[in-house]
Amino acid sequence: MNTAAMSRYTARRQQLTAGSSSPGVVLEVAGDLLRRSRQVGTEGVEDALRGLGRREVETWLQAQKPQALQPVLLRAAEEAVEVVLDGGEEAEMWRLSAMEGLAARDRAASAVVALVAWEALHGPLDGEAARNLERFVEGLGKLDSALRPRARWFIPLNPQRRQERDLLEPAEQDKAWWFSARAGCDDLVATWTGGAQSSTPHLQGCADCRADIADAAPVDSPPRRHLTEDDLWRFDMGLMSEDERSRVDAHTARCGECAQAVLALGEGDDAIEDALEMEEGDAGLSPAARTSRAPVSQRPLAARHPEHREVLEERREFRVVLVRERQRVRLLVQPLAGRTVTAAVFLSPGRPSLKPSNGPEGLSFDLTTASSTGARSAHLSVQAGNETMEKDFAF
Amino acid sequence: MYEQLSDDELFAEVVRRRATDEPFGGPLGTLVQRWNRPARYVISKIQASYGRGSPADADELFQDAVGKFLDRGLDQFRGVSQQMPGRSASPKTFFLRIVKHVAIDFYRRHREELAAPPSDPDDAMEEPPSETARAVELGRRREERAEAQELYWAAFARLQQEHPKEASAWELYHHEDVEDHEECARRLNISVVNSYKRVSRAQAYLKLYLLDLQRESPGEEA
Ligand SMILES: [Zn+2]
Ligand SMILES: [Zn+2]
Repeated sequence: MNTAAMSRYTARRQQLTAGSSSPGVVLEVAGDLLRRSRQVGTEGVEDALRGLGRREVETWLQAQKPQALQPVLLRAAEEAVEVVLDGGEEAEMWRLSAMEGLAARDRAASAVVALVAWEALHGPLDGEAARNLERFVEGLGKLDSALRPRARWFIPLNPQRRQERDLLEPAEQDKAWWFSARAGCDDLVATWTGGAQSSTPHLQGCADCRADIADAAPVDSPPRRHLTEDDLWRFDMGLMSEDERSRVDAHTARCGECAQAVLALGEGDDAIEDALEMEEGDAGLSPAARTSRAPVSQRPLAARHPEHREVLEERREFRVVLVRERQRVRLLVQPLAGRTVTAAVFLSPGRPSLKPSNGPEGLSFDLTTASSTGARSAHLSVQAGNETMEKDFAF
Repeated sequence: MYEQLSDDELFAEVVRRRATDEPFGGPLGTLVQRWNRPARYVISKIQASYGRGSPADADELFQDAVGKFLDRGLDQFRGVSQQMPGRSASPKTFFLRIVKHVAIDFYRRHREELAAPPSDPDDAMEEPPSETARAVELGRRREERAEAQELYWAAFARLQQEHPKEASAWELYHHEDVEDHEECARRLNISVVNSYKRVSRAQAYLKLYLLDLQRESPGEEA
């Protein structure tokens, strides 16, 4: 079992007796062996610690910056995830590098254990050295509380992490979260990239995995970006590219809220048109005097929703057109040859005619409301010059 | 004194005075007063379209529109009328367009709160506790939803920062409703295989970022 990992630690034992090892290496190796005593033995540890002078230990402690391990572990986390996301030839490289990051955290834990053993042999550190030791331990604690909740990032390394965990003394295993936390959660990885996840016994039984899956669910049905004020403005002014316009179409096809806004843009245009006409009417201007208005075909409204136009009747004097546009439907009576045309639309016999609005294209009867209340047909009456027409039509 | 000037002349006067830092309240006031009635008509139609709104809203919206017209409108109007002659040819039409947008934005923003089920006074009399509990529950859920949304967008911001290519593929595919790898590939000028890969990588990182943020955020323990 674990031969590769085990032989790594037995090989480190040599560094204890090699006189050239720095105090830090001696502490780390001593701690490595102490924390794995039953698996690899502690031979040589006590002698090495006895040989470590107080000044050496104090100087080493002064130089420790546990917060420097934070970027190391964060990079290892990213590399660990690349093991599964990259999946190519690089995977092994990511794995080794990520494991090296975890090993760095593990060595710091070993140093702490070795320092405790050292104090038992030499008597406790005091003064500044004692405070430095305290700071070192505290720093590691802070690091752990920040990173332990992210242990899931290391799940792709689980086969190697389990080997490492199993070498540790039982009392050390749980503390060494970098090797042990989520070490059985291998199944979770498939849910990161998978769509429909086939649940496994582990995913059903593991509270951590269940919570992760539930809390990551928003990513499985990501919110859509709604049309912003600026989107609506640029859309309305015809300032959007073709891709942007097709995005608006795709979005409004699914999003009722934004579809309503786009519909309101069109209704607002009709309102603007009506308002301008009412004002002109008040000012006693004839339609011909309108110069500042663009012809309807140039209005962005016409450009953005392909209207569906159906000519119901064409005479010499006028034309009758049914215009559908999204949910809106209206009947247009267009004068031809400069004739004045009057028209009326009756939804049911004996009721007054719908009120037309007079637009640049002619008389317009809005049937939207009637249509939404279930009406499907109406009677039209047109008079132009000598010509009159009575007609039932469906809409 | 401005009554005899046309809209265009008044508008030109506002623009001129504004450019030279002279007070322009007089000509502007006259101008928007002239447009008050059509503006209110447009507002009423947008209100009808959203099935809500009050005269008080209309006052506020009109004021907002005047502000917007000043802030952005003056420059934009010139830009638009040069780019697309005829579209919004007169300052009045342009102003009414701003009114329309201000009103739509307003009712979109207030859609959810106003769309809350109207409480029937009779029910409220009979069952005040449940009505209250229901309102509290609705509010709480709305808050939770908003918070979840916020965290999602924070996770996405992190993705944009750390994996921009994956983020833009995700943005296109999901947020912008493309949901088609061939189209995604075309827009990003990458292979279809790459589009799949980027979206799937984005998904994994987004989940991990989102979970990190959730575990960090206070109140999670509650
Ligand atoms: Zn699990
Ligand atoms: Zn939307």
